[in-house]
Amino acid sequence: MKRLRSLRGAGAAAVLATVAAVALAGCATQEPEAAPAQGGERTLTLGVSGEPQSFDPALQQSGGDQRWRWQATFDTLLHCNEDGTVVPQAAESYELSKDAKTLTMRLREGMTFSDGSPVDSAAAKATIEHMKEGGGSDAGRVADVEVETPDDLTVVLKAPRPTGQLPTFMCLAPGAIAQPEQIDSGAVASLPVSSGPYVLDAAGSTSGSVYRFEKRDDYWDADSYAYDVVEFVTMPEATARLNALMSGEIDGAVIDHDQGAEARSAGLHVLSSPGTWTGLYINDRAGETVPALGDVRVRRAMNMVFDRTAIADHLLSGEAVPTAQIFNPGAAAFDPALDARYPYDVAAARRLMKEAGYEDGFEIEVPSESGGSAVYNPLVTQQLGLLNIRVKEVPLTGPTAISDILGGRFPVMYARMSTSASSLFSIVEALEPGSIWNVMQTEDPKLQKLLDEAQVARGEHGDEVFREINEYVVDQAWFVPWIAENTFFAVSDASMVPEMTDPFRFNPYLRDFK
Amino acid sequence: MIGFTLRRLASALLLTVAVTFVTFMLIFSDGNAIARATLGETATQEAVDAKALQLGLDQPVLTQYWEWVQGVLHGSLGNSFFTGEPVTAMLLTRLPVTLSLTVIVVLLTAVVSVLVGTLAAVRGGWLDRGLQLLAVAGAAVPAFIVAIFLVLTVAVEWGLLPATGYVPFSRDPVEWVRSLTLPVLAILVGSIGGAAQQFRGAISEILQQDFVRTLRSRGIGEAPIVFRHVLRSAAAPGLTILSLQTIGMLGGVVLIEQVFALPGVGDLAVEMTLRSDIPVVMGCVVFTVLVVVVVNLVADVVGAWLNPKVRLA
Repeated sequence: MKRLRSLRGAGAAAVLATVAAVALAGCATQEPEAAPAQGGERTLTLGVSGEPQSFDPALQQSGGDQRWRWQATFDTLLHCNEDGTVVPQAAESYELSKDAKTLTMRLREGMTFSDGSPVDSAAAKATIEHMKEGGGSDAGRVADVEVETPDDLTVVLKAPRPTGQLPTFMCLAPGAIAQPEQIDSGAVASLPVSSGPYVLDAAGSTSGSVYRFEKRDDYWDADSYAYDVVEFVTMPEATARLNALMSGEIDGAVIDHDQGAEARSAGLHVLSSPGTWTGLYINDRAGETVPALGDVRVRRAMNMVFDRTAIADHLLSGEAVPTAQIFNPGAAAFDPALDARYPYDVAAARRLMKEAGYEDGFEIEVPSESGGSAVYNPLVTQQLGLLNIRVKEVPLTGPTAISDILGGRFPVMYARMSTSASSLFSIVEALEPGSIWNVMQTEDPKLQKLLDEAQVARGEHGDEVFREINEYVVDQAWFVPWIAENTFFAVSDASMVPEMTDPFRFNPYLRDFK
Repeated sequence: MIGFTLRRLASALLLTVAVTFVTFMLIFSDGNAIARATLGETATQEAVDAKALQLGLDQPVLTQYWEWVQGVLHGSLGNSFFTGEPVTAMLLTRLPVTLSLTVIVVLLTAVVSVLVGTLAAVRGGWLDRGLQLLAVAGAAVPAFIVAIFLVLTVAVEWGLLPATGYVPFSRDPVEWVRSLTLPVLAILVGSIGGAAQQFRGAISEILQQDFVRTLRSRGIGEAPIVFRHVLRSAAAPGLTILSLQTIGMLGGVVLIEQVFALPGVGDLAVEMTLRSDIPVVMGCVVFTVLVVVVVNLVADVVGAWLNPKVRLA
C-alpha cells in the first residue's frame, strides 16, 4: 500500500510538472495571432542575421540584412541601383548642384503614410533632422546638412562643402521618411506608421522572433512588389539560416562563405559576388609613430610578401579573387591592371626594404582581435616576418576596443571592409581626411586635389578621376589588400532573384524578389 | 522540515544578491563604453556623453545597482537601452521557449535515467555495459554536434521535423511538439547517459549495504526492496546529479537555441550581450540565478523529504 501511494505521488508530481511545462509554454504574453490565410496571398519569408534595435529611423543602419525591416516600413527619397547610380524613388526627380553642395528633390504628389497622412517635405525634413540628432551610426552622413522645404513637395539639402555623396545618402537610412508626429512622440520606435511598401502587422509579429509585414495597396509603387506578405525571421546563427533554407522554411537569407558549396549542392540558388576587400590597413602611412611606414618603399614591400592567389584559394576556398585594390570590381574606379602592381616576390620586397634602409626591420603593434583578425594574424606575423617586421599582437579590452581602433592607436591592422559599386562611397569611407577609416587623418596634397575633384566630377570625367585616385592609392601603397571576398545570398529558387540587386552586394532589395 | 526549508531559502537569497551584485559591478563598470556601444562606433563624444546621461550611466555604479534593486523589488528589471521595451516583457516572451525545452529535458532525463540506471544496477550484464558506453559517448559529443546531425538528417534530408523555429503550444500543440522534438533529443543524448550512470552507481552502492541484506534475509522480494527502500536512499545523490545537469543545461540550451533559431532566453542573452544592451543582460542573469537557486532549493527540499537523514546533515 505504501509503495502504491509513493508511486502515485511520484506519478502525480510528474504529471504536475508536465502540466506546468505545457502551461508555461502556452503562456507567452505576446503571442502572435496568425493572420488568416487569404486566397492567393503570396508570402515571402526571409531569415535575418540579427534583431534590429527598433524602428526608429535614426537608429537604422544602411548595411546588412536588418535593413530589410526598415526598408519595408519607410520609403527613401532616392534609390541606388546595383551599379551605384542613383535614381528617383519617393522623390520623382533630383538635382545636385555643380558645386555638389545643394541637392534639390521634388516629391511625388499624392503619397501617403499608412494612416492616410501625407508624405511631404515636412516629413522628410523632420526625419533627416531626427537622424542628425538621434545619435545613430548613420548620423554622421548628414551631420552638417541643412534642410529647407520651400513648399510641400520640395526638399533642399545644403552641405557646407562639396558632397557628391548626397544623392547616395538619400538611398540609405538618412533618406528614410517617417511621420513627424510619431518621431516627436517616440511611437515610431515600436509601432511605426509606414511610408513604404509594407506595414507592420504587430499582432502577427513576435519581438525577437518573427516580424510580419503586409503589403500596402495604397503605396505609390505597389505593383513593383510581388509579395502580399513578408516575414522576417530572426536567425543570428548562419547554420540555422542555411538549415532553414534547405528545409524550405525560409525563402532567402545571407549565408557564410564556407556555406556556398553546401547551399548549391542542396539545390539552392546562390548569389555570389565580391562585396568586401580583405587585407591590411596601413594607418600610419605618414610615419608618425612608425617612421618606416612613412616610406613608400616599405609599404610596397609589405604588399609584395603576401601571395594573394594562395590566400584566395586556400583560406577562402576559391570564393574570393586576388586584388591589390580597395574598390569593388564593379566600381568605376577599379582597374584590373592594378592587380598586377605588386606580384608576390619576397626577394624583391627585401631589396626594397634594404633600399629604404630598413633591412633589419622594425616593430609594429596590431590588434589581436578586430573583426576576424584572429584567423589572419598568424599569416600577417609570418609574412611580415620575412621582412624582419616584428608583429606584436595587442589584446583589446572591451571598454576601449573601438576607441583604440578608430583612434589610430595601431599603425597597421587587419581590415575587412564592405565595398560598393559606388566609387565615391568607398573613397569617402576610407580616404577623406575626416572619414571614419582614415583613423590617423592622413592628408596628402596631391591626393586631396583628386578627392576634391571627385566630389564634383560627373559622368565619364568622374570615372576618370576615380581611377586616378585608385591608381595613386595603389602606387602609394596606402593599404595591403589581399582579396576581394565574395558575399553570399541564398534563395530557394533562381527565379525569385536571378541576380544581386544591392550596390553593396549583400542582400537584394525587397522589390526584386519575384 | 520548515526550518530546513527556511534556511535554504535564506542562503538562496544571499546567493542571488551576491551574483547580481558582482555581475552588475562588472558589466556596468564603464558607462561611457556602454553608451558608445548603443550609439555605434561613429558617434561623437558629445552624443556618447548625452546618451550616458540619459541612461543614468554617469552615476556611481553602487547608486545604479541600488536603483536597479529597487526596480526589481517593484517587479521591474528596467528597459532595453535600444528599444525601450521593458526587460520583464522581453523575458516573458522568451521564457516559455527555454522553460519548455528545459523542463521537458529534465523530466525525460529523470524518468529514463532512473529506469535505465536501476535496471543496469540490478541486472548488470550487457545493459550495464551499454549504459557506461552511452555515458561516455554522451559526454564526449557536444549537444550542438548532435543537434546539427539531427537537423541535417531528420529535418533537411528526410523532412520529418522542422529544422528551425518554435510554435507555441496554444497555437498548435502538435506543431509545438514537432518544433521541440529535435532540440530536446539533442540535449537528451548527453544528459541521459550521465544521469543514468550516476543513478546506477548510487543504486549499486546501496544494494551492497547491510540493511539491504537484512531485507533480503527477511524474504522481501527484490522489486519491493529496490522501489521502496533503495531508490529512496539513492534519491539524494540522484537529485544532486539532476540539479547539476539542469544547471549545466542552461549553458547548453544557449547553443541549441542558436542552432534551431529558438527565440529563448539563451538566444536573447547572446544577442543582447553582443549589442551591450545591459539591462536585458542583467535580466538574463537574474533569470539564470533564479533557475539555479530554485533548482537547488527543490532538489534539497525534495531530497530532505524523501530522506530525513539529509535534514540533519
